[in-house]
Amino acid sequence: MMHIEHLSKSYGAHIVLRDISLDFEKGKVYGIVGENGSGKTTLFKCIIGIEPFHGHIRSDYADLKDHIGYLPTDPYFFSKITGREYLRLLANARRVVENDVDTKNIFDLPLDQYASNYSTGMKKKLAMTAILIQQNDIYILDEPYNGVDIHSNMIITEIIGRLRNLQKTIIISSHIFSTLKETCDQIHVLDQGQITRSVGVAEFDALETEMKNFTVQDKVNRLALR
Amino acid sequence: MRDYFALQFRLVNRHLSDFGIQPALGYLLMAIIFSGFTAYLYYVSSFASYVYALLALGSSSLLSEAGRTGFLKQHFSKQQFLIIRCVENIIVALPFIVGLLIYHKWLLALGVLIISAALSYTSIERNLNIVIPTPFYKYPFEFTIGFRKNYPAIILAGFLMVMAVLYDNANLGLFAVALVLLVCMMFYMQSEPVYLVWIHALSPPQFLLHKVSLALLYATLLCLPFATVLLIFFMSHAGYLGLIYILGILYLVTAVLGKYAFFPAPMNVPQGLLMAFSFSFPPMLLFLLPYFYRRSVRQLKPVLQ
Repeated sequence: MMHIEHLSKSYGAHIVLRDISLDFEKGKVYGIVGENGSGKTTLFKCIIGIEPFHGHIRSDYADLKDHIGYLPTDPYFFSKITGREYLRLLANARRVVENDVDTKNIFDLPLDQYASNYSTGMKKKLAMTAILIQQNDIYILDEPYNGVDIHSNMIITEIIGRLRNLQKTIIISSHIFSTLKETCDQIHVLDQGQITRSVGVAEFDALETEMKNFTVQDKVNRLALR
Repeated sequence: MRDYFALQFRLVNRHLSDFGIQPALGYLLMAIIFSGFTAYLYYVSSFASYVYALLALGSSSLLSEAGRTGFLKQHFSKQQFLIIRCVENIIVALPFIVGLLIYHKWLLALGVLIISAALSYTSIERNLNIVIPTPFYKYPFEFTIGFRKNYPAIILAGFLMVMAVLYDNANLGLFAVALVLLVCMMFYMQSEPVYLVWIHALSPPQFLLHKVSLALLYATLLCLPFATVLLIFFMSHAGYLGLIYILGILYLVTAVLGKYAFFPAPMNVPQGLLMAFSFSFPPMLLFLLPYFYRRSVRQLKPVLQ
């Protein structure tokens, strides 16, 4: 369990997150949707503890951060480090002994090449593999499907399902609504730093329709395309 | 073209400003450091001119990176491109050429000038996917990456050691060991993103102990072949070797702690000056080490706890 209570974050006068309170349970998948700049990544950074904030985060774990696997939007890779070494770095960091990396290389990545030369999707898959090898209890995945090919897309969806069955907590942000519909138990809408709606599976279609009609069509209409 | 060079000048000034130093003062410091390095090189080695010439050409060749030359070719005519490349290569080699002229190495200076200009025709693909093997793969990342990026400096140290043995010059051998330790310090100049510190399930003191232990182990491993050769051929200099090793290790630990003392910000000028001052006054380390340690623990706390 993880509870976020009255979380607020601002950069100077610019308020990024306003009074966010959310509960995340074990064995559930949560989606966070919102436009670019709505505060999704900042919220994730606050949860994992690399951004200071006002408010409280409570959990079952005394050392919450050591139980979280965080997949950043743009994972960073040094210029002269191989995929295998990156996996070793993240495993060592959590004191996980992993001697069979090749078996766990389910995305068939060229692990002995420099990770910085990987494509966007390959980088994402390498970072995903690294946090899975760490065997975390909570997974925060910022745009896990970004740049990823269709087969890997299906693998990620399957992984999320398996993690849910293992009673892990998963929080995902994605711009692809269909992937959220397929994986999530609940979706929170983040708009201008505030949670404006939280919907369960039964309301996903209605939310999608609403977003299409209001958010998309209304904006595209303003282009007055002819 | 004038705009291009003006922009390059502004970029260098911005880098200096970002480093927290007035550009004019930065140029003056660079000139002093370069002069000191030149004088020291000529003091310790009779092959200084050749090492110096190689450094000049190595520096010029850095500008021939394929992505960079591709960009210039795309935006300038062929003639403009060649002028730009030729001028910037000569600008980079110029301090070395002046140094060679001061030491009356006329032919070598002319050679460096001509080869630097000729290098403007080259385009070097540095982003090749050839993975350089490293003995430091087990616990990434500083030595893993540092070794791959700086292996030419290690090879140079090896070359100096061979010359030291061939010409019975113990000082040159000691310089080679000091160079290896200095290169190890360089591995800790680059600060990693917060995420790569956050991933560690360690408290700040544990994290620092882990980093320092690895640095000591790997630096010792890297020094070992050099130290062994030195002890075999110059046993009478074992005391000096021990002194250089201990001092080098102390500076290395200072570099590790210094990296995290202002984390996540990179090394700034006051920190750089403190370190530079400690080189000329080693007892300063007695103050620097505990100071950097306390600061590092404080800076790492919000990320690791």
